[in-house]
Amino acid sequence: MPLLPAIEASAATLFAEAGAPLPEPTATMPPEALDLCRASGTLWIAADAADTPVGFLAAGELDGFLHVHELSVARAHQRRRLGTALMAAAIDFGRWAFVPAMTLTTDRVLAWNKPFYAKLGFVELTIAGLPPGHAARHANEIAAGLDPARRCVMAKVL
Amino acid sequence: MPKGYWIGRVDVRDADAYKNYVAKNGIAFAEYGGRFLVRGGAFEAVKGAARARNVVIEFPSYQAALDCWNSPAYQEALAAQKGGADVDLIVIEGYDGPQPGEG
Repeated sequence: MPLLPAIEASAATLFAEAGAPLPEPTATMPPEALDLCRASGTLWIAADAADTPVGFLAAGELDGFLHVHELSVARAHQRRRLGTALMAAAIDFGRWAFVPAMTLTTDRVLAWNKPFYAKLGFVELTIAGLPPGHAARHANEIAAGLDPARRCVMAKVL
Repeated sequence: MPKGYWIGRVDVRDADAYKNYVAKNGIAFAEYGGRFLVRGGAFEAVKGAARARNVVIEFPSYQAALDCWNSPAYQEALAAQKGGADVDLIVIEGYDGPQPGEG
C-alpha cells in the first residue's frame, strides 16, 4: 500500500514528457482514499515476478456507477498490457456486482488515454448530460488546471 | 489449523437490491480475511439442483468464517439485499487430513 503513491507519480512522468503535464502540485491519491478502495474491494494491484506492486487501479462508487479514480502503471512496466489487465479485473468485478456501468475521466488526445479506453468499449459522454457526482468531478479537474478542451468523461455499459 | 469456508449458491431475483449487498459485503470479507476461491465462474450442473451464482470464500479459520457471518458489517450488507435473492449458504470447516493416495 505505501508503494502506490510512488507508482502513480512514476506513471505521471509519461504525461509530462508528452507535453501535457498534470497540474502542480501533482498530488497522488491520498493513502486514506486508497485504503477506502481497498477495504471496499475496489483496489486492484498488479505485481511483478517478485510480488512487488508495479501498477494499480482504484475505483469507487459515483452516481451509482463504478468510477475509476486512478489507473497507474510504473514507468518501467508500461506497455506490457498491465493497464488492460487491471481494467479487465475492474470490469469483471463491476459485472459481478451488478454495476450498470463503469466511468472514468481522461484526456481526449493522448494515445494511452481516450483511445486506450475506447478499445475497451468506453464511449465519451457529453459534459452537459453528466450526473451530479461526475459533473462535480469534471469541474474540479478543470478548476485544478486541466485543459477543458482535452478533458473528457467516458463510460462503458457492463 | 484448518481454514473456514463459505459455500454459497444464489439465484438473484432483484438485481437492484442485490447490487447494494455486493457493494457492501466486500468490507466484511476484507475485515475477516476472506478470499474468493470461486466467484461466479463457468460451471456445469453435473448432478442435482444448481443455482446461477456460486461462490466459495476462504477464511483463515472456521471461527473467522463464522465471525464474518455474524459481524455487524456483514449483517448490514445482508439487510441491503432486502430478500431479493434465493440463497443457500453454509459456513464449513476445511479439511487438513491426508488425501487419497497420500500417507
